[in-house]
Amino acid sequence: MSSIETKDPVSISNRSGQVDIAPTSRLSGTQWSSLATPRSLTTVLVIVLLAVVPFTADSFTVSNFALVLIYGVALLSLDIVNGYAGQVSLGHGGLMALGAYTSSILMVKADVNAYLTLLVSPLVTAVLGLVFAVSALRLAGMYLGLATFALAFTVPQFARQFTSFAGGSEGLILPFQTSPIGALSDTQWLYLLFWSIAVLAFIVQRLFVTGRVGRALGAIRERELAAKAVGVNIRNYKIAAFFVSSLLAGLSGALFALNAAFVSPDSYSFGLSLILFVGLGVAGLRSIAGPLVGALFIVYLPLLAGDIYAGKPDIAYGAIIVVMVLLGRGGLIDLSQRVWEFGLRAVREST
Amino acid sequence: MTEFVQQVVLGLSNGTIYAVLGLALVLVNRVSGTINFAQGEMATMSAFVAWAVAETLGWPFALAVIISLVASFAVGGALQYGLVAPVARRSGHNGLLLLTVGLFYLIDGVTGAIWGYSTRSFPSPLSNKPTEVLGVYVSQRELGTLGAAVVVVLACSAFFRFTTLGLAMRAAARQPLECQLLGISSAKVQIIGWGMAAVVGAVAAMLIAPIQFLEPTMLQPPLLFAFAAVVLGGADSMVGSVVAGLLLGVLLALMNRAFPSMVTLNAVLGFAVIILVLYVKPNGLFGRAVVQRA
Repeated sequence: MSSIETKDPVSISNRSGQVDIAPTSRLSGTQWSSLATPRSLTTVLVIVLLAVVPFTADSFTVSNFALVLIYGVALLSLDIVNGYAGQVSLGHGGLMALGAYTSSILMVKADVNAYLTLLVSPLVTAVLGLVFAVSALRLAGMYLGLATFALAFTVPQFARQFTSFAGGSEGLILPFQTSPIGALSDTQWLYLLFWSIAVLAFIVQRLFVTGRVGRALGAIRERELAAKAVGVNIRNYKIAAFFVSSLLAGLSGALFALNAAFVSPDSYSFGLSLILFVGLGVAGLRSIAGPLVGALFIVYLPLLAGDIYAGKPDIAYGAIIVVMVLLGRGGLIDLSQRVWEFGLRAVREST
Repeated sequence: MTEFVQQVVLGLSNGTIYAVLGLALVLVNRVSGTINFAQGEMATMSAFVAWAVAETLGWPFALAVIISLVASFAVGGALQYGLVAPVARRSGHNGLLLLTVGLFYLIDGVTGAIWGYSTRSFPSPLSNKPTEVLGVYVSQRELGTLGAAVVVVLACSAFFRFTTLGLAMRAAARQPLECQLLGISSAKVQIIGWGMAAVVGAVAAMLIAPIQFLEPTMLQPPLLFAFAAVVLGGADSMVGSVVAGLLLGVLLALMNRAFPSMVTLNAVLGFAVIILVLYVKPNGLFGRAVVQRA
């Protein structure tokens, strides 16, 4: 840490010496007044390209990309709490489990329409998440980490315990959803359903984190005391962040169950929460593309690791995460930006 | 009553492992301000090294343990110097947490690749035969485990209380910048902190290995409870993690005895109790509130 930095009160309080007050304009991309920026055009292009996948790619890729969309929704959710509000959450797998089990139990035990459960389960998860947040958000840092972790640990255990209700360790088998439109195959129909819900989730998340709430969360993240001093209601904003995040996490869990046509406690182990945390962190917090890149990472890294070191994927998997963390200050997205700028400079200097 | 005491003894013996592993987590948290997810895997590898030296090379058990502890210190320090310090400088807390998760997978994979995932028995100098003491059955091994844990905790406390280096480390954990101005190398303090944590973790692993079996994933469940104990005790308090670890062990043992049909839910109840305690004391039982200044 240089001597100049030590004069800055922000860096003194920050143990790691990292001062992260990026301008909000860089963080919050979508301004409705300037829709035709290169960034927003790229965003639209990526969204459109994702819609074309089930008509062009092979079935393995389509099923992988369906998972990418579902994990993408989960990471949109995690980014609100972990990225924008700056609170540790190791429990989003538990929230996903709540959504998945709400959907599944409604479908199997109460015979509710699958698509209707997609509306109900996010709300149920959000309400339960709210109850959790009201009590847990007194805590911060490692203590909040444990509370959220307890959430991830608890939900599958309950499912395991209540055999008749939630299927116990064997889980529940859900009715498979067929395509109502003749022109689309079942896989294509499900994929497009996930795609449209993911786009909706993306818009909800952008609207939530840009503007007033986003600025308040940014203030809480960077200097909680200062935010309090200027009149930001810290508790309410944190609870709001957790509420919206739970809503999206529950949605993602319900989609996950629908996609697999199956739920079991093992699908929502603590490993899921950990991998969500890793995916988002490696991709980069608080960026538009982060959840998508993180989801691609979550789905494709195990396959890649298996290819690199067949039979011992854990080694390759761990090594890749370690290297990524070493290379990227703010994750892969920040890294690619720096490489891109470096390339541009090199091209400019050579001509 | 005897039944109750018996369960307490059982709980204390489990709790010892949580306490010692928790102590390792506290040491890392003090110098780096992060949870080390890889602590359990590092410790397991240390136990495997001791096992390999004793069984494969045929060297005396005590020597194998010493070699493993020295190697653990070196590896812990090297990890801090080579990986943790650069990441902490550039990516802050979130990056550090990610790094330890990456190390968790990496070290688990390496241990599995070298020694395989089959279970092995770990030698212990103490007998497992229970003897009756005042109507309660205690084995030599349980007493030895408790004794070893007490020694580790006392040694750590003595180091921090009575040595200059220990004082420097306590100071550096509280006021890193001011200490650097006074000429205390924070790099050195952190290397020693990670090295010590690796040694303490290795002790925990070698205490649990004879009770369970030696396998690459053996410390994953205890690490969860050690983590819970650290938080319950106060994330920077060594005494706190030890007391909380023992309490947690006893609590879980008593609940398993009281509600045998709900073994899967007892851990959940354990967590619920901890969260309730945190609700009253947000910095844990022995934790210090961090005063924020503008």
